[in-house]
Amino acid sequence: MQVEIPVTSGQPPRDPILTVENVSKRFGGLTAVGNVSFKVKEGEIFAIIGPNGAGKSTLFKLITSALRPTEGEIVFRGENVTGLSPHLVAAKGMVRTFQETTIFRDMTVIEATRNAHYVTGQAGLLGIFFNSKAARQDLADIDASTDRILELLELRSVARERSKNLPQGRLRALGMAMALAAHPKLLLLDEPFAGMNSDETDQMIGIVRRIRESGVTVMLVEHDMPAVMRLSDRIVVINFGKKIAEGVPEEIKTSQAVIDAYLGEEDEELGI
Amino acid sequence: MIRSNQVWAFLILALVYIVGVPFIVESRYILGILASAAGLSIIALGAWLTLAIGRVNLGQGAFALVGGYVVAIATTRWGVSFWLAIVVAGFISAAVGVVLGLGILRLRGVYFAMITLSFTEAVRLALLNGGEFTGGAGGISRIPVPGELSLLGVTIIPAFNSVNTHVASFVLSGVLLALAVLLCWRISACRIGGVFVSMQQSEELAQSVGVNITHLRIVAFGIGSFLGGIGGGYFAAAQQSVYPGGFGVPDSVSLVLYCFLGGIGYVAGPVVGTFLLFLGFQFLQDFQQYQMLAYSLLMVALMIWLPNGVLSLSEAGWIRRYRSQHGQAGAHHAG
Repeated sequence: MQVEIPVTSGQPPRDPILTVENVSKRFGGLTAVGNVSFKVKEGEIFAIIGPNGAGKSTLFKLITSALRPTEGEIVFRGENVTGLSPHLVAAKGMVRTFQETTIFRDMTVIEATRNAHYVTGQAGLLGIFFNSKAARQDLADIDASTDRILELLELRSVARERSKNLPQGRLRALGMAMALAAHPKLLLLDEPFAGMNSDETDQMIGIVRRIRESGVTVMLVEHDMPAVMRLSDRIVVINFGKKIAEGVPEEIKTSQAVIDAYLGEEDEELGI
Repeated sequence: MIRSNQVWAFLILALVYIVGVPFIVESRYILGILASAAGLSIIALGAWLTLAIGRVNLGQGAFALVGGYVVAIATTRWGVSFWLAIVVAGFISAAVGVVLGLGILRLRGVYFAMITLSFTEAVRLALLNGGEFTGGAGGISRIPVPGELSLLGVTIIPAFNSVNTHVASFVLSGVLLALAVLLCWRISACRIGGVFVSMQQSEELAQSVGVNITHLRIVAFGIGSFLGGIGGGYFAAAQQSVYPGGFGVPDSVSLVLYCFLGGIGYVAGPVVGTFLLFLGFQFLQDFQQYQMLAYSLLMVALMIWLPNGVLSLSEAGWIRRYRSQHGQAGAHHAG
């Protein structure tokens, strides 16, 4: 007699690419982040939101190893990366963007993107210096990758502009281009919508979706609620350093805890 | 990218300088000054490499002293050939740089400048109080001129005392400088140079895309110290003596100023800056009491009108217009 193996329909279960487990960060007596846990699944757009001063930025820094958590673990693709040096975290495939004051000011867009490809090469320093076969192959790969990234982020037309002369929206796209240059599996965006008008917001939403379609999981920390609601698959809300809600945008919009947290802020900020 | 025709142009220029100048210039004095400018340029290139990663390095004088003393001690005490000694001098300076760098390269801006400046003074004092080993205040003199270098019985370089020593010294300085320029040129033109510039503009951002900034800072500083040691080793043999005051804090500061004058965005910057300032002051010796004044005014003027150095003139608007009218490619520079 044959045993019927049940076949589940739809998508296969996706493994978490990032697991944040009971992470806390205390500065002296102040708890900036308290016992926060969540999982980011491969291929999704995941957002962390919260009112000003909720601990979003601290959490962001903990995940990217700019800060070391007081307690808890950050597991990336099955590997504990807690407290690892930031460049190693980046090399493993978790790359962050900065707000636009942190740029390679005097480089053109194409130079900055090419230079950000440092970890993708196979050749060592001596190989690069003596232009070994591996180094020449790396250069060809970097050219192709730079081309693809500039296309994806609609930066072709400003490829020869110096970074410091770019308007804000393009500058942010350049920040994402540089992050993508390190060929991340998980891209962490630091307030990608801050200070943008609605046209720029629409463009940025399109860009983030295309990045996800290219196979990169995206996690963002953001203050702009309407944009987050439109873009994200799942959202975690934190307030006073604690997780107060987690779920799909519809659940978040109707969560009483979230509404209470944002009480006192304009209704439109919630995007309801 | 370095194009091969640029390399050929550079090699021909270097050859013309190294071979041509001794034919034209008969004055030993001028030949000596040119050789010193070349030697200083090598040391300045080392300072330039540290500037390339965004650190103002006021320790190059110390590395030159270390290199000079290594050559002095090895050749006079142990009878080591100059050719071996100068290579060893470069590597010992580099080793000192790496050890020092491990501790101090996380510092930035004025803090790094101050600690390297202190290092220059510390090395001078150490050599001054080094007893018999370093020769104290008088240093070490009667360093032999470079001897013959032969391989398998074939003379590659004749002993300097068998030819015109002054010309030989000049040629040596020119060859070492050309090699130093090639080294720095290659570094700045390959991907390592791009990463150095990234680090100069934002270490945090460079680190976020996976650059091991701690490692690369050490590499840059180590190579810079190596060049300092080579330059110092050259001077030890050319002047046949070393003493603790040979390179001091003012020299360390000047070396960085040379880079700024020539332009830190260009590999040739430190060389152009060194030749301009060093030769300028040598030929204007009559006005020596005004040297500091002229220096200061020059630097102020530079910061106002040419913040990117003399070589940035090559990218000035009127030159670009001239080039485009005459159908030439735009100004190219490595770095």
